[in-house]
Amino acid sequence: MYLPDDKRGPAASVSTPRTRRPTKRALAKARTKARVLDAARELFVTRGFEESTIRDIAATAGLSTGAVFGSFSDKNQLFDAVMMASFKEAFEAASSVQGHAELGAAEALSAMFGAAYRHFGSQLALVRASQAQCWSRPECAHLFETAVARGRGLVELTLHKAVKAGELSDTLDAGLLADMLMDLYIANYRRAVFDGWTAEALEARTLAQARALLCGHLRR
Amino acid sequence: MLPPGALTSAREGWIVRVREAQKQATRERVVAAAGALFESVGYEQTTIRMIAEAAGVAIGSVFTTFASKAEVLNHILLQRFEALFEELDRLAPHLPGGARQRVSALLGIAYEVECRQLGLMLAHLAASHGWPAEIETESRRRHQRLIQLIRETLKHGVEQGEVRRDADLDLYVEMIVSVYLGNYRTAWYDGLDVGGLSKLMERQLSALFEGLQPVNSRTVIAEAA
Repeated sequence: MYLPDDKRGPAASVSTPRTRRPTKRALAKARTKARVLDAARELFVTRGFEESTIRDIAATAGLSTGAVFGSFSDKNQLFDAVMMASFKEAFEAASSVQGHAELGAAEALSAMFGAAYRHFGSQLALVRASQAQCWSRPECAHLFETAVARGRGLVELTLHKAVKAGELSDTLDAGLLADMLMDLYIANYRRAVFDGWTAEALEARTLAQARALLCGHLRR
Repeated sequence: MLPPGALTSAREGWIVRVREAQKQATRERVVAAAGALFESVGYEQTTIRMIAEAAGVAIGSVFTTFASKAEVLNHILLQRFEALFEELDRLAPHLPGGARQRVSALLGIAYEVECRQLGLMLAHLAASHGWPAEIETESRRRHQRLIQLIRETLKHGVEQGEVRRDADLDLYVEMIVSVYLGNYRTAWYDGLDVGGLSKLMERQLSALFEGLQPVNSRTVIAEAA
């Protein structure tokens, strides 16, 4: 985090020489980077990844192509940054509804998935491109898997809570079920992409799926 | 005596047949070259130019037989699915065990067949998010056969009293197929082989079938415990 100049005494910069306050140049660079990311996401979402050129992105951001290359070495790297930012937002949206403890496990899970579906609802082109990209580029696949693993962690946590609360049996394999729920959550995007399902319809589907998967694991 | 014009029309017919044969040969060469490239280089990295070079045909010839790279892939997948379903249809009636074991065996065969050319299966999955709606429709029609086979097995399980009567079979079948397909991603990422995939699917089916057991047999188990 960068503090404004007047909040930092000279002592701070002396005692922590490694975290020297950012120069005006560094701040400008960060601002440029943010502008590039915003423009790139807008174009990837509206026009598609393949159809957007660095030149288009620069024009949308109101920058030169040179300025874009100052922050990102190529379009792939730019895509990965846009994808990770969007996945992070989806994770935050899912985490924010995860705390509703009064819900049953299936309802809590579908609320989380629903939040993610709503986040990506307007960015389906990005979802499609991320799938195509991560099958063809290992570094993109790695980022994608990292994001999936974070979501899976949230799902597993919800299952553990339900076991603790006595709703689900303590003999269930939470890791296995979490993997399956993530597979189903990802597979449902085809319904959005090819059949025009809304986030609400997808959420209802995940609720039915979570119930079908968990009903055999209720504590009896 | 030949009627007038017979010779020319016979000759035209011959030319048409030769052209058709040439077109068919080009098509087969394109399909073989594309299949090998998708498998070794990957679908995304393969260009139409590379396919044309490997097939020894002009780039234009590729486009006269197929509208796009996605269509070439679709054609290859169609052939592969035929091979897979021949195998499944042949073995399905002879599979032993209950509904769960039989679904597990069916999907085990599917993994076995598909993993012979895992690269192509991955190409299919990679392309499947970006391809046009009409190819998606065809792809779903192909998967429909797998869905039908699993559905019949579950229905048989209902008749045998192994699967609860009020279960939403369509929902469970779709979940099984989604999980089955999702495992290819795991296989690719974690480097699972056919054996690993089948074992994983078996565990997943056990978890799913917990919810498919008839309620009375569940109470019996609970009472016994």
